[in-house]
Parts: sequence; structure tokens; C-alpha cells
Amino acid sequence: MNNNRLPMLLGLGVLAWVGIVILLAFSGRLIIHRFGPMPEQPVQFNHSLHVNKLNLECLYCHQYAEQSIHATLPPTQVCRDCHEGADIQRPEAQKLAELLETVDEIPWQRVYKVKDHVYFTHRVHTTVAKLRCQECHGPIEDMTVAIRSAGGSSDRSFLEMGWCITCHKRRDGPRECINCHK
Amino acid sequence: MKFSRRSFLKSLGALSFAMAPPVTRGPLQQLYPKLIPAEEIIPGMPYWYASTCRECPAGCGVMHKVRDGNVIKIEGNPNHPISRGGLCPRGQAALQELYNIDRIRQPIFIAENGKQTELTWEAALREIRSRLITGRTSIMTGHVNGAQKKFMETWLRTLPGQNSLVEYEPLNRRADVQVNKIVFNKEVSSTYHLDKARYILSIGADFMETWQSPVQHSHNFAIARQLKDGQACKFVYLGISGSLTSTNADESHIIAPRSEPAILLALAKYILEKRSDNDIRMRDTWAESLAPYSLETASQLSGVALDILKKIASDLSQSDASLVLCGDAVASHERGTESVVAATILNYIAGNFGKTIELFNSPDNDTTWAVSDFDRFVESMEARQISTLMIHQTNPIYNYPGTQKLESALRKVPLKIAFATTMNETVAKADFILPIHHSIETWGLDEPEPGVFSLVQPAIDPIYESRAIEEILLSIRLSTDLPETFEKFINDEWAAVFRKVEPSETFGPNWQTMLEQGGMWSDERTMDSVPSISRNLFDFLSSLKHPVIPAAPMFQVKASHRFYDGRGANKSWLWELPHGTDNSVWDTPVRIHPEIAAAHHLKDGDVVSLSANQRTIEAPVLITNNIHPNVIAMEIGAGHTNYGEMAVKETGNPISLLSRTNDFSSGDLVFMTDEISIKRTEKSRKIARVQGSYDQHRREIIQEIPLAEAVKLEANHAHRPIHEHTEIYPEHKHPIYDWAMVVDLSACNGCGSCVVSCYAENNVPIVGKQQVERGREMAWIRIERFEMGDGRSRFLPMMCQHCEHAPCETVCPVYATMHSSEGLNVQVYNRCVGTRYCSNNCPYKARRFNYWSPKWPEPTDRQLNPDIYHRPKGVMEKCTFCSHRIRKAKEDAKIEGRLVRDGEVMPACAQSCPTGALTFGNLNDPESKVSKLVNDYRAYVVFEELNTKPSVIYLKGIKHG
Repeated sequence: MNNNRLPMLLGLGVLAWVGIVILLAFSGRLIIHRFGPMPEQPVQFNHSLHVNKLNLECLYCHQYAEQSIHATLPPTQVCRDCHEGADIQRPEAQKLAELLETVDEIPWQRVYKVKDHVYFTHRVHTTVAKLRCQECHGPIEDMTVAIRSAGGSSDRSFLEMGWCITCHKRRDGPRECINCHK
Repeated sequence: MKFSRRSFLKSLGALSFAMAPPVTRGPLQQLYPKLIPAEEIIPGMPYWYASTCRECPAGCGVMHKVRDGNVIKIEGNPNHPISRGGLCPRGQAALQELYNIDRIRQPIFIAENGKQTELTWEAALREIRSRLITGRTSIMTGHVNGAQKKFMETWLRTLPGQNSLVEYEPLNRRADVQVNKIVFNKEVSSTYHLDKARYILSIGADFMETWQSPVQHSHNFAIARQLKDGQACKFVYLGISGSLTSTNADESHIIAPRSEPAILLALAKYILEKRSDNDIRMRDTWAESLAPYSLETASQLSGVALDILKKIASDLSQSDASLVLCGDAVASHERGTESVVAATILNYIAGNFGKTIELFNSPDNDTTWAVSDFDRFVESMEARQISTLMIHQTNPIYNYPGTQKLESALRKVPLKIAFATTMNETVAKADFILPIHHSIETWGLDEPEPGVFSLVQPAIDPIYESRAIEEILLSIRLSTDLPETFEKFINDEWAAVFRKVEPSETFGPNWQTMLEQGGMWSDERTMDSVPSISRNLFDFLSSLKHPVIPAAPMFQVKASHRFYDGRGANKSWLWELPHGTDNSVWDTPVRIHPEIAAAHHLKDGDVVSLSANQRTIEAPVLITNNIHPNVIAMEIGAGHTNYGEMAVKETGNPISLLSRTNDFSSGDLVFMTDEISIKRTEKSRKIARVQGSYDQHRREIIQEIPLAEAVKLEANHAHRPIHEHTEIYPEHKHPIYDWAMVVDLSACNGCGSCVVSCYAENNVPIVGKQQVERGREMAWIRIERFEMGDGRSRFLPMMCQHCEHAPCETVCPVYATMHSSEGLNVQVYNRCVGTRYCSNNCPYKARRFNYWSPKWPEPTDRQLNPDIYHRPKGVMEKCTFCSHRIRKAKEDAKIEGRLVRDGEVMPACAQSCPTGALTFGNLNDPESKVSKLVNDYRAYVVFEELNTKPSVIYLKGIKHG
């Protein structure tokens, strides 16, 4: 073996090694990114039970979805209206009862997020475009705790612009920058 | 103890004479502050609350915009009889007092050695009660009116001892009443109707900035300047130094200090002689009294050429509705009252009473104390006659010329309690500092003008543990003549007002309407007939002597357009708002004439030390021609020693140089001093100015049209087509909306309301003096001032022109700036990579680059508009035509299945403009206001030769001959 080539080979080996490590690290990151866990909720709220079994409308809890930019989470009074006094043995219902006694507001974690520079309003999507909630939020009536099932997947925390645009194209929604970028 | 909006409404419902208002509901369920019942509050949507501005005594009506529990913007209340929808920069900046990093957050005890201890409310009140000793109690306050004043007076009256309510307000309207007493022997106040005048002469009255009620006067002045029946009001200004108001005049002349009465009385004499037709009683007595005056003497004394004075005199005598305004305390001397008396005489002889001036018998005339009385009050403190002093909304340590004397007197008062929102020099001298509500957090009933009952209502829950001053006074000591709670008191007051104004109606159901409109006022007021002249006036006149015009420089302290009497100096928006005439920021330079500069070898920015009355301050100089050679003028604002982080400390406080002389007849503070010495120091600092040249270099940025031509074109219904250039590229299509703005340069007076409004609305960051020096200021809209060559200036608000052929769009390598289908030039912040090519290619220099990421320390972050992205470092930004407001209006319209109506979208700048110079709307709607204005014969665009086709169209200013 030519001694002159040894350092070069060694160098190449190191480079290849570094490359492999970087590749592995990135693919791992992508995997975590794509399938990463949803935020931990204080109570594992069962959407399916409330919607399918108890026949509650979405607007019963998310009452401002047709009036505001936010759909809004229900104030604790909405939970209290049914849960107070009711003796429900389910563990999550017990947890809720405990929470209702100790806190003013339940610290629900946001599942669907848009970036700071994005303007999104529920009001127009529900009233003018007349979208059903499921078109963006997926089959939420069949879920227990809400998980994000739409909105693009390259970034686990925020909804993707491409996903928005696909729908805006399909339905001929406004597609100018200023409509959504604030 | 907490007095929330909710509990107030509840108790109101319980009042026996009233039906329950439709606002008492079940317990609150939301995290949002207790404003509207939970069912009516929609998170994420804005709400408006009508209230009254308390930044100066004018009392403009405001609307507070609340979003998710924070007040994010203050705008003028279009229904309010005083402000009519406009709001000045100081009013806008009230938000920076509410969300001030230096807000006092809980009660503080200051020990003898200066050590500060934070206390709980219970501990503080217990301690105060235990220290209360019998003796005289005084409340030392700024100007208060309406219910608050009544409360304080009643509270003091029922305490044992000879108590007094001391109103110290250096800039006040006292002179007005004092003068009417001399002239008519009646305690009446004057109301000036600038809108009805055809000729206005102002002697040192800066009515667009600080004098009396600037928003009201600016609004009315703009109406007067409109072309009506081939006429428009002419405006002439005479003063010892220039100001924003004087640069707006058709003619402004610098006069010698102390020559005002001589000019005014000579004019009066001229008119008396010319107008033999008008019915002036006691003509002979007048003639006799005015005999010593003549235009010739006036010209000699004032230094104004005789033919100029003759022209003014003949114009005045020929005008059927003239108006003479004379600045009171400010711009006057120890014979200031004489000047105002002379102006009143001139108005009387010109027959203006009943036409452009009305006299009202007001029960509650300005009761602020004369400085001579305040002197005596300080002496009584020194003599240990005051046992308890309460300090509220006034800062005499800063703005009373006798700080040392006052400090020593304050040390002799055993118990001093300060009620304050933020720390200032006077508050720091107290034993106890109790945090009080800002006016945005409390209830009240103001009566800024007789018959105008203006509502003060809280828009948010208090952000810190503050309380209303009335509540605190009651918890210090209950009063037999007052209800047990402030809540009950203010209820009763409003009910009483209601009974007085609308005796036939019940109060309860109408309360909601009143909350919405911001108060009660009747449009008709009973005017006093023009009273007869007091005999004593002629004695007063005969005692007048021709003044001695000083040969040495005098020092003039001017009220500041931005900081008023110094109170605005803790607000960064006001420091970053360029000065109206010289565009300087973050400093208050001393203005000198080139002659003084030459004598002392001074150039712009050289720091001088000014000495008078054994005190010395330092300030940089700014050389200007617009000042009398024997006057050195400086605005109030800098030199605070304990007024938060924003206050500028390097430059001194000009008030400290004043002697405590006062006007011999009114007792008001004299804002001038004779013995000023000016010395050059080795220091020099750059004055940060945002505009380099006031010459247009023949580029015709501001265009004018002579009055005669305007009249002719108006009569012919002339139009002027714009955008006649040939096109190479296909034009942009605007299928539904085509937004445009029209700026009337005849109306714009350069006040800067739009600038501050834009800062507040769009989260525009403050950069500080150093960055401005480097040309990195961030204002999206700026006021450009250009000199028109004959001593006049015109102002032009310059913002992004939203060009149809935008030079910025074609050079952006990443498409961060684009053209929208509605004619907007939009900036996509997250696409921007910061090449700054766009800014380089913008002929209007309307683009701003973020060199730093702005910081918003708590609680200033609560003011941020959630509809606007907080641009980080490395991003270009600019005016968006308030695209978020357009978006909101479009949403509302879409939901209702219609198009946006004309006037529904109001950018922040247009909303707050006191003169209505800015109009915004849709060019595709042929009926919209802008559509009609763009074809006006006065319409033009800036740099038309560049064929950028801006969406901002200017209307040429009308030049009065």
C-alpha cells in the first residue's frame, strides 16, 4: 500500500463517518418531527363520548367559532353545568372534578397552531366558506383526546402554508399574501 | 373594596329611580377582565369604550379599543362636541402612561433617610390613619373638574380645619376669565369659533399645539380654510418666536417682545376710525383711550414694517368675521394680561363678539391657582401651617420656578401623601406613595366645558394594585357629606346630570346609550348676549404705558407640542415624534437667532450653559431665523431627574431658570425672564433630525395653487386627469376594491397625530436617538416640512405611496413585496431576507428596516396590537394602509353579503387626524369620497415624472394672497 494514500483514505473515512452520523441524526429528527407526540392535556377529554354518545354540538363548547377569530375553549362553567353533582366514575372525569375544585381555568394545551405572522379567523371559515369543523380538524368526533390529524407534517407544531393553499385553491378561496400574512 | 365596572353597573341597576340596565348578569366566567357580561364579550374581537382624555385640561372625547382585556389604541370620539373625532399626539400617548414600565405597583413608604419600603394597602392605610393629626389638610392637584373636583372639595370641607384644594396647572385658561372680568366686569369664559372666521390674527396663540383646546381649534381652523363662496379664511401670525402654528400661517412676522399690546391697540384704533358704520357705544371714550396708539409707534416698537401692519389693519377692518387670538400665559410677559385685554378690545371693536366669539356664563370657570397664590401656599407650608399635604397629578418640583423653596417647604409638612400613577420629582418627596388608577381604569364625570358632561369609564381592570383616588380618600377618612363609597357618589353625580339635562327621561335605560356615546351634552347652549364694556376698562387702559423693548436677549419658555408642561417626557412615542418645525427628536434644543450664534461663535448642536436667577442649565443650540434676535426660546420637556427611563436628562429644565415673577394683573406665571446669560461650553452634541433639508430643490414635492386660480377652477368644476403616461407593461387589475388615500395639503398642519397613531396601531418600534442619527427611525408615516420661500411652510404626510408601478416590487429578489389585487403594495415579512434593495429603490423613502429586534418589556407588551406581526431584526417594513383594518371590514362585509361601505375602513392615521386631511376609500366605488377627490383640480401625485402611479394622491395647498 502506498503510504502517501493512507492519510487521504483516513480522511475520507472520517468524512464518511461524519456524514453517516449527520444523516442519522437528521433522519431521526425528521422521524421525531413527523410523528412527534401531541401536547399533554391536563385531562384526557373524550371528544367521541361527548359528540357521539351525548350528542353535543361542537359550538356547545367552542362557542365563538362562528363569531371570532378564535373558536375558543369552554370556560369551566360549561364543564360544571353537567359535571357538577354528577357522579361519574371514569378516571378522567374524576380528574376533571378535582381540577374544577382547584383551578379557575383548566390549562388546556393548544393543538392547532399557526405562526405569529399568520392571521387566521374561524369566523369567516365557518360562516362565509361554511366549512364543517372536520374539514380542518379531521374526524374529531371519533377521537378521544384531540390530536392534530391535518395541516401538513413537516413541522409538528404549526400548520403549514401549503396545506392552507391546497384547500384555498380547491375552493377558490382568496390566495393573496395579505389575506393571511399579517 | 375593589370598585370594578361590574359592581358599578350592578349598583346602578339597584337605584330606585331607574330600571335595571340590561347589563346585570350572572357571575363572570371568563379570564377576560370584567368589562361586559361574559355572554357579550367575544374573545379575539375588539370592543370600544367611550371616555374622556385627561392628558391636558382640554377634555377631548376618546374611544378606547380593547382587545382580549388590553387597551391597544386610543382614538378620537367622532360624536364628542370638543374633539369631533381627532386626537392629538399627547392623547394617543396616554397609553404609554397606562402601560408604563415605571407604573407604581403598590403602596410605598419613603423613610426620612430616603429608604423605600413597599407596603400592603392595609398597612399603608393603617399607618396613614395613625399619623393623621388635626390641622390644615391640602390637596395639591393639577386641574380637576366635574365630579372629581366636587368630591375633593366636599371631602376637604368636612374635615376639621381650614383646608384647601390647590390646583397648580402652569398652562391654564385663567387669563381668559381674568380678562373678561377686566373688560366686561363679568366672570365669563370665551369660546372661540375658528370655523366661522374669515380672517384670523394670532398673537402668540399656538392654537394648533398647546393653546386651550388644540384638537378643537385645529378642526375648526381646517373648516375655516376650506374654500367657500370663493373665499377661504386668511391666517396671520405675530409672535416673538416661531412655532408649528406660525409656520402654518399665510403670513407670520416676528415681533419684539412686549410689543403685543401696542400692536393690538393700534389695530383697534385703526378699525375704530375706519368703521364709522358699526354701532360701537361710547365711541368717543374709545377714541380718547386709544389716542396714544398708532400703527407707526406699533411698527417702531415691534420692528414689523409699517405697510405690513397697515395691510393687517385694513384686512381686519374689511373682514366681516375676523378673530383675534392671543396666547395667554405662554408667549407672554409680565404684561401678558394687557395683551389679552388688548386682543379682547380689538375683537370687540371689530364686532367679533356674537360672531366668532361667544361668552358663556360658566359655573365652573378655570379655578387653577395663580402662581402668586401658589407662592403664598408654599410659604404657608414653610411656616408649618399645613399638617397634611396630598399630591395628585401635578409636578411643581419640575414645573414651578422655585424648586428649592418648594422642596424646603415640603420638608416642613409632617405628612405628605402622593397619589400617583408613575414616579415623578414631586411624588418622590412624599412620605407615602399610593398608586392610583390611570384614567383608563377608573370612572368619572368630567366637565371640560360648561354643559359638556363627558364620561370617564374604565376600559380594563386595573393592571396593578391601584385604587381610585376617591376610594382612597374615603378609606383614609369618611366624610359626612359624601356617600360611603365612590361608586355611590359617581352614581349620584351622573343621575343628577341626567336629571338636569333630560328631566323628562328616566336615567336607567338611557345609561347604556350614554356609555356608548361618551357622555351628555346639548348642542344648544344659552349664550350670554354681548355684555357692555366695564367702565373700569378705561381706567385700566389709561394706566397702560408703552413698554420698554428689551435690548438684551430674553429667555422664553414655551409649552411643548409634545410634552405639554413636561408631563409627556416619560413617553417614548413623544420623544421619537419629530418636532413640528425642526424635526429634532430626543432632545429639546434651545433656539437662537443667527445673530446670537455669531456673537458667541455657536453652531447647531453646540452645548451652551444658560444662566438666569442664580441657576444654570445646559442645552444644545439650534439656530433658526424664525425667532426675534433678542429672544432665546426653549421648550419644556427635558431635564427631569426622577421621571422614569424615557425622560431626557442631559438637557436641562428651562422652567428652573424662570424667576417667580408673575403677571401683575392675573398673577399667572411669566414664562419669560430678562437676565439670561448664554455661555458656550466645550461640549457639542449632534441634534438628531429626521429631515435634512427644508428646501424642495425644485422637485415640487409640495405643490400649491393660488387662491384666485382655485376659485376660478372651482367655479368651472375643473378636473385634472392624472396618470397620463403610456404603459409598457399590462396594468394591474383591481376587480373589486382599489384602495387609495387622498391627502389635503390645505388641511394638514403638521401636528403629528397620524405619526403617533401609527406607532400605536402598528407596533412600530422605538429606536432611540443614536439610531435616528443614523437614519434608522422606524416611523411608517412622517411629516415633511418644506419652506415655500416666502416665510411660510407647508407640511406633507409621507407614507408608502402604494404605487401601481412600484419600484420596490421589481427589485425584490424573493418576492417579499408584491402588488395585491386591491392596489396595495404588500410586504410579506417572513419572506423578507433583508437585502434592502426595495428601500434603495423607493423614491419616497417610505420603507423602514429593522436593524434590531424590538423589545417590549412588561407591561408595554400589553399595548401591542395582536393583528400586527412583531417584525424581527432583518426585516423590511412600511405602511400597509392598515391592511388589518381593511381585512376586518371586508370580513364584516362578506358575512353580511355586501361590499365594504365608504368610510368603513379608516386607517389609524386618518382616524386621528384633527383636521380631516386624510381620506381613505375605494376608487372602484364611484360614489366614494376618494373617487370624487382624486379628480379634483387640486389633485397631484408626488414625483409624477417617475410614473410610479401612487395610490396616495395629494391635493395642492391653497395659497392665500
